[in-house]
Amino acid sequence: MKRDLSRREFVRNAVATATAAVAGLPGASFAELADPMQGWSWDRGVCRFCGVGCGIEIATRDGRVVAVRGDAASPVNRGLLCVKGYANAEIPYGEDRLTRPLLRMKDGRFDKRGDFVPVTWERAFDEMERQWRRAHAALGPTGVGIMGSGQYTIQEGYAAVKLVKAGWRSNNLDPNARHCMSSAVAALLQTFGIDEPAGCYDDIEATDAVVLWGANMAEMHPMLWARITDQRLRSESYRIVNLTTFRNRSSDMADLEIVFKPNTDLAIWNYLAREIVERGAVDRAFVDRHCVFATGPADIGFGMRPTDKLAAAAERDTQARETTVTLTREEAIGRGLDPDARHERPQVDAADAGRQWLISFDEFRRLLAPYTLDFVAALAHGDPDEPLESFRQKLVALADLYSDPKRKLVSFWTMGFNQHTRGTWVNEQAYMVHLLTGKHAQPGAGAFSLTGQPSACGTAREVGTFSHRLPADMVVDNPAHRARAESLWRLPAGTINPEIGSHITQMMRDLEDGSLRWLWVQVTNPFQSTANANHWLHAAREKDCFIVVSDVYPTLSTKVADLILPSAMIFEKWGAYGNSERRTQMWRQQVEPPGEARSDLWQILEFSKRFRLAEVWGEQTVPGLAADGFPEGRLPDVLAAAGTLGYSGASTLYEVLFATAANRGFAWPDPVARDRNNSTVAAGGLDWFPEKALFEEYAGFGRGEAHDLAPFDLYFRDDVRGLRWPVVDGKETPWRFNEGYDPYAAKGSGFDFYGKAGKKLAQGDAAGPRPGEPVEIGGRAKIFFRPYAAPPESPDATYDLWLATGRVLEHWHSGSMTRRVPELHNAVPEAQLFMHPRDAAARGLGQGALASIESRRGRITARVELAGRNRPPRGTVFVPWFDESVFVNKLTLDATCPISKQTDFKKCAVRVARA
Amino acid sequence: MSPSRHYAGVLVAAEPARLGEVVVALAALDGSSVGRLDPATGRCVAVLESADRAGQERLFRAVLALPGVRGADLVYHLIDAENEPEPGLESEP
Repeated sequence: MKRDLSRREFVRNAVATATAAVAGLPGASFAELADPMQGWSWDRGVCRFCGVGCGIEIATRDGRVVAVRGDAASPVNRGLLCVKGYANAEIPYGEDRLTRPLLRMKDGRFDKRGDFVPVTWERAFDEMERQWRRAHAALGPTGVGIMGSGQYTIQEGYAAVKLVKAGWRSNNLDPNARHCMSSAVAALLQTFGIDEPAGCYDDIEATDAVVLWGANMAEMHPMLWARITDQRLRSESYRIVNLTTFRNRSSDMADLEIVFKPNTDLAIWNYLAREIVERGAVDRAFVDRHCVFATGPADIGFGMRPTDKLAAAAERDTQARETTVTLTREEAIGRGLDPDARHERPQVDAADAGRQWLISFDEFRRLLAPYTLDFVAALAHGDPDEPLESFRQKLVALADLYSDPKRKLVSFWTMGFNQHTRGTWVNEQAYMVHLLTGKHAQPGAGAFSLTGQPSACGTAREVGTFSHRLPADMVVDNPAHRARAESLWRLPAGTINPEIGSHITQMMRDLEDGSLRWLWVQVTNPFQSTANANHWLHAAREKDCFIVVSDVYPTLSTKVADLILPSAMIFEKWGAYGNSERRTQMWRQQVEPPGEARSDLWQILEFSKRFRLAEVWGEQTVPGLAADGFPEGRLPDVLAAAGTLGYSGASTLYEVLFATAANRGFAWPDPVARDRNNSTVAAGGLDWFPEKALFEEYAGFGRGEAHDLAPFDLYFRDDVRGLRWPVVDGKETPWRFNEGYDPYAAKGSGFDFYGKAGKKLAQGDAAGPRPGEPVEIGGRAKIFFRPYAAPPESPDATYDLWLATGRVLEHWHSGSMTRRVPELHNAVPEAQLFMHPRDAAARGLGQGALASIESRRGRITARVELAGRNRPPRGTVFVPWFDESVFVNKLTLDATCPISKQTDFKKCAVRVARA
Repeated sequence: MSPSRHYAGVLVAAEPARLGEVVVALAALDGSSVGRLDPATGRCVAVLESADRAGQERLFRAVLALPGVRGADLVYHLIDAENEPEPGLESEP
């Protein structure tokens, strides 16, 4: 009881403080606040944490951040902040902040078995360079790589892309954002030919209904949730629906909660589409003018290794499904096959899972036919304690909502969709339903993928820090895109490697099999966040590899590193983030980094000084490289061509890529700084402004290409709170593809899905494409049919429960920052095992009992929680992943969507017992 | 299973001369407490606490109906499910 009362007081105070911040209300006592606020200097910034991108104001005094408040002028959060948001002031000041480089040493020399010893930056870079050369000499450009982040600033991400792709000619750069929303990216590119959502947060106030699919917005996007709940409380007709595999905080405000069985969202969408078609609710005028129908191969595997050579014995049955799958009865029905026959399907399209072709509307309708209410209700019914009839009625109510032509509607989703072995498909299905009903790219009507990280959009996606991407939606395996990047970067033709690099999970596999020997980790904690972690921990410590981790605090990844580099935190450097609604926001440096901590940008620039063109732009061996215009297995020597551009073999990558004449033209100091410092400039002894120069250089990729960013200085104007791209003539774009709002939509079109990728397709039917000339579809979007597919691993007699992982409100990702904020740590000190009371009782477990959780891949222990914020149905358990002492990614399966390569963290099979 | 607690932070705008009267009325409202106030602008923050959403809606409307209140905006909402375990399910140390 005492705990409950103190928590209620804590929550009341938090709510009061958050609310007061909106209007800048002072504390209860003016007198108390007057003194501390003397000498405070306030400036604008953006929250360090999630993808919402809340505007904040930061107060500094005597070189220290002393307060944070929501920016009442921010159109995103309107002055509100969640409990994490208020922690922006506290996160830099944990006691164990990293402030010096640390190298594993023994007897004065680097030793992989040695202890961490403080060293100078010079010594740290010396070893980093030596180890890089060793890996590069043995394996070529693909033997080295960087794991980056959706928390990189735009400038940091851009510098990393340029160093890896233009300098080292490797494409082994991939962000943790691969785990976050690459399925959303793949679906947007396949459906619209261009990445990023059509809509914006204004949809919340403009709509009549919000449907959440695998998105617990109450915890993961709390400030958007506040806007949604505000609308719901004001309007009797506003509706909230929560589709989820377990009850969560978003259910509490929902008018309709639908608990479905994992992976059956694929079938529910097809039921909705079938209803829309059969009820005559298709918006024919919209579809006929703006859409085509398409599909792709179904036997595409699960993104696992195609071999079990490195698998433990217990892993092999799941692994085997990468090559051959016996369809379940439900999968057979969903594909229109005989459910009583055995269908053994070699996964023949695993290597080309994104292939697609056009089909007719009649074929689309035929493929939807199996997805009747009876079939889908029986398949998707997720709570065994809910009567089937109740579940059926909910599906009908959902279909009524989507089919109602008078109702505007927004579907929101995040990890429940994206972390899915058919993540690209299920994203496409959301567009399928919204396009069929003409409810897309309009105020209050749209399918809207939310991101999890503060710059998953702005950096990872727009800058292109993925292993296949270049800035502004370009890709390395497209010759025209490479040529444009080489032109803008002033590189010789043929410099950029045409082979897609390893995605983040693949890089872990590469470490294990010895094909990656040098890895730099920046702004992420991949050894905690990557599924099936036992393999990668072993690889990091036992294989012949050198791992560098740049971070602000010790993490699990720094523990397995060979070299730790201390980084500057958000307000100790200049930066920019791009949020989920395409809003680019910037901040000035507010305080100095502690000790010898340095910005990640400085680290990239400084390390680039150690490479000369002669060693990286000569001929390079790339095993397996096969691309038009390239010698087999090799990148050409481009040094002679480099000479014609004014470079020599002695030129450093720093000179060629970063300190160019154009970039040095952006002088520091700059009036936009308003006398604030720049730690990157200071550490580098620079007379130029790298954050501004690199932003302007990067913006050159997108201007005129429907990704237009505004001039750097505009983002700092007092009346600007970020701008949603494309920004054309100083005007932002709230809704893309809609002629009324988007200057890139053709005049007279109404809607113009003008993205260029994948717009020329063959025609065919469910069986495949027919021979013939591909068809150009121009400004049309694709409505995909995708069948139901079972996951690679489901509960069975040995591992009898579904396990889902995820986040909690109070902690950010792996907890490296938020667990050092006492209020947040005390609120949720450890990760718990959320389970149904009857499942617990059947195993002799009570509230707070220590339980063992075991999968084919590992075993952990956690305390049982039976009545908390997440309430799984019988048969499902949930464990958050923020707590390294409850290392849930030892259990999870590293299966991915074969198209997007995003890991499915939402479903694998486990067993639970008393510990 | 014990129910969730719903908390709403509401920015209440009162006629400045009647702020004291409004604060007293808010404090007297069952489930409402006053967190912050700003006499200069006639605004204050009320925290509404209830067992369910319907309770929130009732309280919100009651705040709007108080004499001297010009308007009220919901600016923060939190549903807290961190309650005691279901009766009958014993805790372990």
